[in-house]
Amino acid sequence: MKALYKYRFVLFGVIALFAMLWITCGTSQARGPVPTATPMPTATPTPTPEGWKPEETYQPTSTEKVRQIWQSLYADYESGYAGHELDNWMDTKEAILALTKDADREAILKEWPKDVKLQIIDAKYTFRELEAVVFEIDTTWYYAFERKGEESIVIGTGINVRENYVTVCIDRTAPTRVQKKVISDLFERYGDCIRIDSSMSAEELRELESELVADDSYLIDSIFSDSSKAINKNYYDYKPNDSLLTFTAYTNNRGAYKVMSRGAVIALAAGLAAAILVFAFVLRRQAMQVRVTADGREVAGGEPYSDAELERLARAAQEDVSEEGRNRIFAAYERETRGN
Amino acid sequence: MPADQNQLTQWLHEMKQSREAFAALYAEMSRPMYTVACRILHNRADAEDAVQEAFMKLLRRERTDDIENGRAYLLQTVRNEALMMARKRSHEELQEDVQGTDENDRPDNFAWENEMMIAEAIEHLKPEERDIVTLHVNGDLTFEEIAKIMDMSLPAVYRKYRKALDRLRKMMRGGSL
Repeated sequence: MKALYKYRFVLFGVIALFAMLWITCGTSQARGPVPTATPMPTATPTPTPEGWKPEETYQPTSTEKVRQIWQSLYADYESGYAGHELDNWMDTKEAILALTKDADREAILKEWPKDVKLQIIDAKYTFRELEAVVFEIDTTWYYAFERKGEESIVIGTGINVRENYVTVCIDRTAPTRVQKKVISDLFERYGDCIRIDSSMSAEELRELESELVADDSYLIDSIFSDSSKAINKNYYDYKPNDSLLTFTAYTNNRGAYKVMSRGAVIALAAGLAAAILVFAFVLRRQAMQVRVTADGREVAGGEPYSDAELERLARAAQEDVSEEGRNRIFAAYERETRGN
Repeated sequence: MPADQNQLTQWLHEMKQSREAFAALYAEMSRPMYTVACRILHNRADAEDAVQEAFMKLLRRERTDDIENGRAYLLQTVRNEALMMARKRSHEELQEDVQGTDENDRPDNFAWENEMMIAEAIEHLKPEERDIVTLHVNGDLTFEEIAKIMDMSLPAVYRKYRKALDRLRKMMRGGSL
């Protein structure tokens, strides 16, 4: 134990070194390339017969084909793509595809798998345009207020593929005057591209609609008012960079983080154990050395050259006046006191 | 076992009238006083002179009843006397005396090797540390009393004492100074 205490710092260093090595190796292993196996001996290849062609074995499933189609449509800004809905993401049997008049429908139908039912919806705005509106409303009305520490009455946005518009959710607790102002501004800028989800009554909405513009394309939808909670939930699912998406992005890398965190926990535990060990030895050493007496002085025992031992030696090493010196002092005393 | 504080102060008050009181006071305090002086002056004869002068100054005082702590007073007096004598001597003389002490003046009762070592180790301490160790260990003064004598704060005295002990321990373990 004594030797362990003596070399406590070396011990601690070794533990810390091993922990660091472990973390480094673990992390690099998790991130590094897969080690290549030793090549196995191969047989002599048989010559390919004349005219032989390899048989194509891979055939994309219908679901994969559908996914490829809408992904290619979304990637092409000129394709007229206005959104889609699938009945099942893993095994698609029915799909809704919203297309503008610019879309090449013949080409799409040619590629479309026969076993997936397709419903095409005519749309006015492309999905990119709707996304741009969502982005602008979010940045102008939502995040701008959030950055300033104020509450915006625009509490959410979402794209309705079937109806081809952007739903804008309005805070139903905000004063009606403010709601009217915001709705007015929104319609002025985005026209029939948006619909409002508000708590205002149908009568109030109609009144507001007539106040704004006498245009039927400016739709104010009061149906959502009764289920505003559900709408809000959908909004959070749609909203980019929200907490759900951020969380998902992080979990994609959880393998590396897992290794790092496990290494960190082990290093922390090793460090903690070493610290406890050192602390215990220090306490033991102090307990051996120091004992505070009633008058506040410290005495010690146990270890060689402890405080008590040093004091004892120093006390024993003190010298005394010589006999001659003693006589001289007493003679001086006699002289001094003779007169008294 | 050091004498009771009240008893010692009582002897101090009575020493002018009673030789027995002076003898008892001398028997109690001569060793620590001499050690304090010796560790400052590094010379036995000068240290004895300092002890004698300290006692004489006490005798020449008109009143002694205002002294509350006889031990602290005597040790402070002998320390002041030794410091004054040390200042009078030139540096060269001091060095010669140190060498002389090492060569000739070491008492015969320093038989035990550790005691010899610690005596030399104390000589290698800084003057303040050496005084604190001597006053505390040999003079049996508390840190508070030492703080008053040396005009230092209590924490400073304690810190220097701890430092001095650590240095002594290091020197003793090292086996060389």
